[in-house]
This record gives sequence, C-alpha cells and structure tokens, in this order.
Amino acid sequence: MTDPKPARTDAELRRTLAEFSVPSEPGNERRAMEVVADVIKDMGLTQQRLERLKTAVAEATMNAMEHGNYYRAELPVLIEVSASDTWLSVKITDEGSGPPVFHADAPDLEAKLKGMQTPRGWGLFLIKNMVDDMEVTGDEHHHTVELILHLDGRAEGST
Amino acid sequence: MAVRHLEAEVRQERGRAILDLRGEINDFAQETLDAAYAEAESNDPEIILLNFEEVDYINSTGIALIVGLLAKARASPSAAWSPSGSQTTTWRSSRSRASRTL
Repeated sequence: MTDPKPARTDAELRRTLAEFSVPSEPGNERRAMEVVADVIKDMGLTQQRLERLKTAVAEATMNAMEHGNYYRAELPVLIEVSASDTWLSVKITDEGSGPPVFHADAPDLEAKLKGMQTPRGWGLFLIKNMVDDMEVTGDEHHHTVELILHLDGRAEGST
Repeated sequence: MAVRHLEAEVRQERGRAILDLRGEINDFAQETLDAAYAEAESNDPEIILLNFEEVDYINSTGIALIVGLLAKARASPSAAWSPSGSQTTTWRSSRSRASRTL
C-alpha cells in the first residue's frame, strides 16, 4: 500500500486530503477503510456517519478489487479522499474496462431464502444506503465509484 | 491489516446448538461456517443459534454466506428459522414452535 500524500488545495476549494492505493488482494478493503477513517477523523462526522462511510468504502474497494482488477495483486485500487466546505468525497478507481460490474437487482431477502435469487448481491445495496450520493463512471481503462457525504447538515443524522 | 479468519465453536446446550463465531465473516469464512453448521445440525438440535458477539467485521460476501446458510436451513425438511435479537440468528426445528418472522 502506498502512503497517503499530504493535502493540497486547488482554486475551486476542493481539497485533496489523501491519495493512496492498495493491491488487489482479499482483505485489503479493510486497510482502505481504516486509512480513509484516519484521514477524515477530525472532520466532525458523527460515529454513525463515519461507520457508514467506512462500510461503503470497504464495499466499493472490494468490488473494485474483485470485478475491476480480478484480484490481480499487481493492479492497484486507487483511492482519493477530498472535501470542500459542503461535501466529502471518496473516489475509488480500478483498472477494469467496460461497464462497471454491480448486481443490478435489488436484494430480495425472501427470494434469496427461497433460492430464487443468488445469496450475493449486497454490495451496491450497502453502498447506496450508506452514503448520500454515489456516482459511477468508467472508460476503456478505469472504473471509478465516487462516494459523497454532504457536510452542510442536510443529511446529518439521516438514515 | 491482517485478515482475522473466522473461527467457530459449536456448543450443545439443552437441545440447542450454539455456534460461537469469532473474527471476520468474509470471503474466507465459507468453509468454517459450513463445517460448524454441519456439526451443529448433526445432533438434531431443537434450535441452532448463531452467536455474532465476537464477530468484528462482516462484509457483503459474509452477509451472502449467512443468507446462504439460512436458505439451506429453510430448505431443510425439519427446520424453520427466525432472527432472535441483535447478535444471534436462530433456526428452530419442527419439534419446537416455529417462527418465520423476518
């Protein structure tokens, strides 16, 4: 894993708080979420919001390692943490091509228990429900999932 | 950060089988979970409890493993299941009062 770089500020008040990468190896999603948690520990998020973001970061990183980089350790997952006065963003980028892979169906527990739906497919559901906004972009060489928390109080304490 | 692999111990207690789970429920946990469940089921308990008290991390793959286990239990001819509190999940055999509340 590369070390987080020091913060920088650009003209649009988007402050990059850290950039780092993790090899695509099972378990590294926890390393990613703990680094992100450390980077933003002084931003004043409630414990609940922090834990929710950590879950989303871990799930998005795991998805990137598995479906983007096929768990090839030499392919890194890049993570950029940035913020303005009103939002916090975590961008997670893999080296996959084509459309990002997420299970399209919303998980239906009853269907899963009846064997009508695979037991898997919880990642996107977790991510979407843990952050305020999520954006997925991609091109021929990369997929990026951006996780966004609003910091202006609109979503603070919301589910 | 080293992965803390799942450990599971099965206790038999007054007709109940209790699976005490410790560590992480993730991609690596399936073999341990399946073996513990098979051991618990082998004594035909009235109830199987999953104790998550010492589980410190579960990801979406881990949730899928638990759901898969519940689906297997539900498909069993002698079992129903119900959640029973914040840190345990219960299966009840047909010998007991079955609940299917989610």
